[in-house]
Amino acid sequence: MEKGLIALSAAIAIAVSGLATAWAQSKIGSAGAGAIAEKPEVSGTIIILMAIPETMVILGFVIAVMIILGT
Amino acid sequence: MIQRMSKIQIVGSRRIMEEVIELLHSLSILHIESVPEDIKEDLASRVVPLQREELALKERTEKMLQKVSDLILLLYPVREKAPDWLSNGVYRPPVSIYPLPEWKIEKFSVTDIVSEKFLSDFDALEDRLRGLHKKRSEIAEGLSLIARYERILKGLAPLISKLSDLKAIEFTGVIVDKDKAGVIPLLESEIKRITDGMYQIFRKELEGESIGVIIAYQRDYDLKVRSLLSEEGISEIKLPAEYSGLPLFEALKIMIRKKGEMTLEIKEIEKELDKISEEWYWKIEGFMGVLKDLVDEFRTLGYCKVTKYTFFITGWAPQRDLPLLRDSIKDKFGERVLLRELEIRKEELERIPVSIRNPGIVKPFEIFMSILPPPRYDSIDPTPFLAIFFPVFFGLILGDSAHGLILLVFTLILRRRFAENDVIKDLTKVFFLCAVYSIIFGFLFGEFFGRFGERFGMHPILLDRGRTIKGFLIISIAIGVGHIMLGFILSLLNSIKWKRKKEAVGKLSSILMLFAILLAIASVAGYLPRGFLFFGIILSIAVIPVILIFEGLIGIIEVIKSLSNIVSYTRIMALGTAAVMMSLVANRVGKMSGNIIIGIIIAGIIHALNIVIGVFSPTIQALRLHYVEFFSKFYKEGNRRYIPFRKTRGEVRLWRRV
Repeated sequence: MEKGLIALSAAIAIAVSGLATAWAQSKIGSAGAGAIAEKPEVSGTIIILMAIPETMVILGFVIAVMIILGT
Repeated sequence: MIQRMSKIQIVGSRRIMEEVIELLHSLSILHIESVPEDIKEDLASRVVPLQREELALKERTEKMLQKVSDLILLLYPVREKAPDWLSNGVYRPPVSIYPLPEWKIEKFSVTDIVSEKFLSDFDALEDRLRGLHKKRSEIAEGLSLIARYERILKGLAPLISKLSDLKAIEFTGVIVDKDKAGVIPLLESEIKRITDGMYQIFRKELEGESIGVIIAYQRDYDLKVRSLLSEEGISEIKLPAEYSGLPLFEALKIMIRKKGEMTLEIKEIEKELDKISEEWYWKIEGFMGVLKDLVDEFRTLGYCKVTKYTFFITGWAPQRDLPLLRDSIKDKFGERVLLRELEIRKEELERIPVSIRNPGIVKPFEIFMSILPPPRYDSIDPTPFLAIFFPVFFGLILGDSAHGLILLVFTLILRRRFAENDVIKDLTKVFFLCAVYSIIFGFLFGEFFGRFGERFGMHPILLDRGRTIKGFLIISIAIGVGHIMLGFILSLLNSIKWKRKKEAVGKLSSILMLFAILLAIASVAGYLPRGFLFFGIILSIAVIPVILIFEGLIGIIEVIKSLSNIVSYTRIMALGTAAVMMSLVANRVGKMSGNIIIGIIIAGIIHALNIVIGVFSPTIQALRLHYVEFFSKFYKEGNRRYIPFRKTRGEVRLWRRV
């Protein structure tokens, strides 16, 4: 039972942060695609902007790892 | 590295001003400063007004530049590489009215620009090109119209030849989707009723998802059949407007014939365009360079301050190029022109144009800096640090010797293949280093296609990324601490270098506070004795007022933000673990197939996917760690790049006096 709860907690940690990242990236992605269509030279900046919300899922992953490892 | 700049003033006799400008243009060293508004209004000096002839020349040059810029859009480089005479040899302008060629120097007589022959020659060429382009686009439009009928034509061609000889018979073509093929028998029964059985129906499956149906019937029933089709909403094959009066088969036959003719005609036009482009493209490109240089020189005249007998030109030059500039001026003009180095005022620091020069190994990394504004003159160029840390972060994330080897081979192939493309060349140099670090870290992590290397006795030396996740997490955070601390230290050293005492004290306090907080955290986590917790708390409390005084509230926020920046480095662990897990999955799925060949294919596909993700993702994440986390500690955006007054066509001398 306890093992199951630990696994579930880890899954929630990563799933919620994954959804949050996906939502943020969808917004940045659509705006970025528009910006690139107008000004192709901003492609590099947009790629970096796309990577910024990934911090959320990465932190979610770290929390999930910590839950599983019990630290 | 940001180059030291000197503020230069060149003073000389007004009579030789044009010659000085010409020399400065050829030297391509001086970044000429525009005349500030307040000085423009100064009565003692005035912006040099262009003479009437010069004004006419300037307008003529700009008009001609516009003309050739439009003209070149109608041409294309048949050979990608510029011919030798344009890149490093002697340039021959399109109209041969320059009788003074010298070795390596072509004298371009500026006053000849007013020659009507110039414009009339280009006018004739433009008319010819526009005519060809117009004709080509008209034919292409006709072809694309026919192409839309091609599918139908191909499918119905056998029927067309069989039926086209019949007289007093009318034909109607219909296209029906395959999934609606059921309507064809219904249509047939209706046609049979209307025509009293005097009909014939032919069907043929076309490419794609449709069926072509030809209905043949006596001409007397034409009206009835057409109204039936329109009532039932079945669309007939509509012909283009120019064929609308013709019977279906006749129109289709003409279209087939015309298609062949049009293709031939387009080929002829393209051959002619090729010929003209081959002859003119690089000539016009070279001529555009000459005109641009000339326009630049006219513009520079507007930047000069002039009194009755003298002129002044102000600008910036890298200190290392100053002796060359000084010697060249002295050699050519002796004492008639004076070069003075002016003192740079403190308030000017923000406006100094920034020139960056890095050693060969660091230079390719400048490509990643091009998406950011240049650093401020009194800031730090982050490129050398990017060159040190980017490949390390990349290697830590990819961390697989086999993937690194594949990337290495790939970069070498790309480098050979695109030897003349500077961007690709720079990128291959960057990724060559990244591949080397991936191989090294792969060896330290014992990874060769995941754990496949274990079969050959390869074992983790530093850590096993798949099993020691916590260890990898701690290493990532430690890297973050080191990197962020380095950012703060660079900022501190820069403040000391530029003698900004208040800023230096603020930065030092921030470093101490961050250090104290990290000590306290390490102590709470059990990595340091308990005593460090109290030491950390006391030190933090002690430096808070200092930060508030010297940096303000923003200084405290910056330190707290730095903690989240450090945690952000855990992405190295997260992505590294994901990469190793993906490799393990590839090997396991391959093993599960039970067949060695199928297993290798499946594992190969997953590994290939992993390599693609493994190259893209570490690049983005390593860059992000630099741009967002590291640079924010010391990098200040500037707004001026060093753009010297440079000649496009160095080998052409703009000859004003014939």
